[in-house]
Amino acid sequence: MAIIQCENITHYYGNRLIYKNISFEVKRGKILGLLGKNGTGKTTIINILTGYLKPRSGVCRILGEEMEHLSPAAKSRIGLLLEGHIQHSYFNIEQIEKFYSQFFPNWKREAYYELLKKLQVAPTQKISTMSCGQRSQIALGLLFAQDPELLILDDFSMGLDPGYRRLFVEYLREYTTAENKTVFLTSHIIQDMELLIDDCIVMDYGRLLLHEPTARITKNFRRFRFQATATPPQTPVLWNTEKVGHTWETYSFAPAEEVRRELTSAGGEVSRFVEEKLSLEDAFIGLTGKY
Amino acid sequence: MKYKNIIRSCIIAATTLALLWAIPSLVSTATYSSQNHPFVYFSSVVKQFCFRKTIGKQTQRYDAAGQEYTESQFDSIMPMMYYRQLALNGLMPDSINGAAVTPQIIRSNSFIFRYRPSEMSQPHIGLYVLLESMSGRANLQSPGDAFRFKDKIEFIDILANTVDREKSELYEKELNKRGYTFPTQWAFGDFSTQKSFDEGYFALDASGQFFHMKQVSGKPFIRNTKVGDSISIAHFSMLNVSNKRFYGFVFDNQGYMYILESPSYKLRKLDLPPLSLHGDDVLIMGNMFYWTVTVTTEEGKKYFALNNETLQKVDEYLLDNKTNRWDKVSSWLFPAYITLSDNSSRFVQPKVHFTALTAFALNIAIALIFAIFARKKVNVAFHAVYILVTGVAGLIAVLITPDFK
Amino acid sequence: MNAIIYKEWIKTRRFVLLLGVLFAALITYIFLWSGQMMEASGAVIIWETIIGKDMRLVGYIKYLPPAAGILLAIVQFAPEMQSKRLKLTLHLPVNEGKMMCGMLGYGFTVLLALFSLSCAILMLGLSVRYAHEIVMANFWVSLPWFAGGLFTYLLGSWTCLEPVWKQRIFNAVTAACLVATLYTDQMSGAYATYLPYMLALLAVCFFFSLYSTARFKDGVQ
Repeated sequence: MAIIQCENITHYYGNRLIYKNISFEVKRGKILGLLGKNGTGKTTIINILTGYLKPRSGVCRILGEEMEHLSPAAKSRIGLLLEGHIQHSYFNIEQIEKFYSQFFPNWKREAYYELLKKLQVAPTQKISTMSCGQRSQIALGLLFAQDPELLILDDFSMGLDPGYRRLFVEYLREYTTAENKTVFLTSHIIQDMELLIDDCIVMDYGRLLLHEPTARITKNFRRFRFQATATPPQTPVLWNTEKVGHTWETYSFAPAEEVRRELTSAGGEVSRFVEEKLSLEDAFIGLTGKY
Repeated sequence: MKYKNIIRSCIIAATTLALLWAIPSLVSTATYSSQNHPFVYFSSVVKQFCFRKTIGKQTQRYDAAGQEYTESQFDSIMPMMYYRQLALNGLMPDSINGAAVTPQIIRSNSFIFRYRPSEMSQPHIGLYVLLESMSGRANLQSPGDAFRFKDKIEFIDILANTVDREKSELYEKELNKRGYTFPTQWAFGDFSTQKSFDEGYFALDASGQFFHMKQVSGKPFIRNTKVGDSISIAHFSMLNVSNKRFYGFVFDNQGYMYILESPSYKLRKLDLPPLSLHGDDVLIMGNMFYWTVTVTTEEGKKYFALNNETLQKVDEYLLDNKTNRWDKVSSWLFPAYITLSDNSSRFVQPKVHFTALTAFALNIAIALIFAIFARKKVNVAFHAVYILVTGVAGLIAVLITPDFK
Repeated sequence: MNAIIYKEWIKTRRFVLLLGVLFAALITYIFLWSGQMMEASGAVIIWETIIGKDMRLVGYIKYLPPAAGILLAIVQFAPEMQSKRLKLTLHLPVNEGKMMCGMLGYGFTVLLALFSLSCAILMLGLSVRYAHEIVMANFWVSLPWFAGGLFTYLLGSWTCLEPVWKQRIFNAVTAACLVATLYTDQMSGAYATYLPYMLALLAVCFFFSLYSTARFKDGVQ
């Protein structure tokens, strides 16, 4: 069953097209990463999903309800992390827990304090005086205590140093695998993502580039370096073919023989043909290009 | 959110109302121009209205017949007005119209009285001060107490801020004896101490009887004037003139004006057409020969000269208001506008004023422009009709209130 | 609902306390000033000036309530608009209209309580040296000023919650026009006849902020 369903979302800011007719689904129990370069509209998708932006057309459903009119019951089943781990910063650690606990009948107080134990903060410290990393732990702790079915995390890696980022990823991984949780997250830092996400949606300007299981990408998507006598042809099989110094690069999901066949299909010779396995980050660059 | 369209309508309505008040009051301030009516006074020498008008630095002096005067000539035909100047120049005549005059005689018979319609409609604190009427001193003295006079009479000692039971009972008893019925409808007096005598208060009681109450030698003096038997009293304005000919002016509900003679409580009607008590301003400049009465109405100023003895009209003169800039501007800009206060009342109360149908031309124009240029996603027809009715204010309200996608 | 009040209280408690101190200071000043005036001129002159010339005793308080209203609106809603924290608030499992009404109701109640208390203390204090007619005249003269504070709060919130800057300016201008109706200098008691209009406007203005919230939810920029 799909937890998130988006159909034919089209949105403009003024006259600038953000995307046209994009559709996707997220299945229960999956961790889905929405990846894209800056300005491809990742936060816009989150805003539309959570009902804070009305798209020009199209509809999203979360837990079967339309995003604009989420019922309080549905909202209590959705955990939301805003970009930059924004929280009500006038609260201190105890106050914010006390505040949120009153809205959720199944509030797990221990989960929150468990996570904060390792932080070097006093329970009366105000959130506004904390570092971004510490705030990310507060926000995560609150989400764990809320124990929602669906977590929507907007650019959780923003502002975190590698330690906290890794910490965040590990906690999240542990949490979601233990219980059948669904996560929808965006990030522009791809490192660490391999450990976390089951499915990838890769955004490009104005469109949805790809929606695939992460494993299929890391397993099948390869980089090929070669030298060629003629400019290689543009075919649907080859991604972002370009010349780096004297050597050409191209990326493809296809096996080596097929790539080679494609490259020579328009005539010309290919030599020094090398196949390379890719990390998710390299794959991301291969998919979206460097620019 | 469910009710956003209703709330949006409320915002537009409230904005429109606020602008229907704010824009015209700004425009009215910006277009303010005084009527620049001349000063008018009835001459007891040439026996006609005389005028002094200043335009820029030029002052014109002339009479109703068109005869022009120099400044000193003007002084001499208006001795009742300029007697101090005449006395200073040694030009004061010994007698005028066969009556001996001195500055003292003129002064003791002259008065200026002013009635504003807001007197009839203004908040009153509900406390009064009753002076001793003849203290025997040049200036009167404050009694050190104040009294309330609505449902009962109660004197309050100011220093102690407590009720003076003894004095209150004394007055209560006397009022009852004279047949006064509480609650008081209204009472009017003047407790300024810059005068040599005080006539206390005149009050309309619950049964429409008109009473005089003052304090003489520390004792209450209360009389039913019986004026309430002959006319239905709308208002009374006290005026202390040194010749003590009358207590003040009584207005009846038909708009006629009377003087209440002293000490007989007899009414003498002024030979004036009925006034609109809620709209007209009255200014009376009286002297020992003639009273110059100026009635300011919406249309203009009416001047009447009354004989001091008989209060019969001897002359009248009319000056129409020129259409001023505000009238012109408003009749093209606003078919209707709102004021919160005007000169007929000192209470704040929104009032809708209608100017002229010509202003609907503008409304039609802007409604059409709106209908043509408005984006189609809003309910154009409804908004255009709204703008047609409410004009500029409605247009601004619609334009500055964002609509929904 | 308790949680909403709790949040608003944590957010504004310092400012509310400051307001309390400011009002207390001003009321003290008014009493000192009126006492000194009595000493200097004598009670009789003061009473007669009040009766004859409509002198006010509470004039100093005139602009404090509207300032308090605007500032409370800012203290309460500026943090919500900063980094769009309002999203967190609206994402809580409570009906959004109810949530906003709860937040506004908190501020409105705080101001109403502060104003009522201040007014009551002022009137009680004045009644020591002045007849109740004089006390009432001062009550009536201060009523539109206190009401002005409630208006600036509601309209200030409406303006603060509006997501678009240009629109905020329009809202502020409209708000200024509406509040100005309460500050046309008039005799004490002149506003008695305006009271029903004022209450009706106040009731309507309460819901203006919901419109800004709806615009926020639609992501208008």
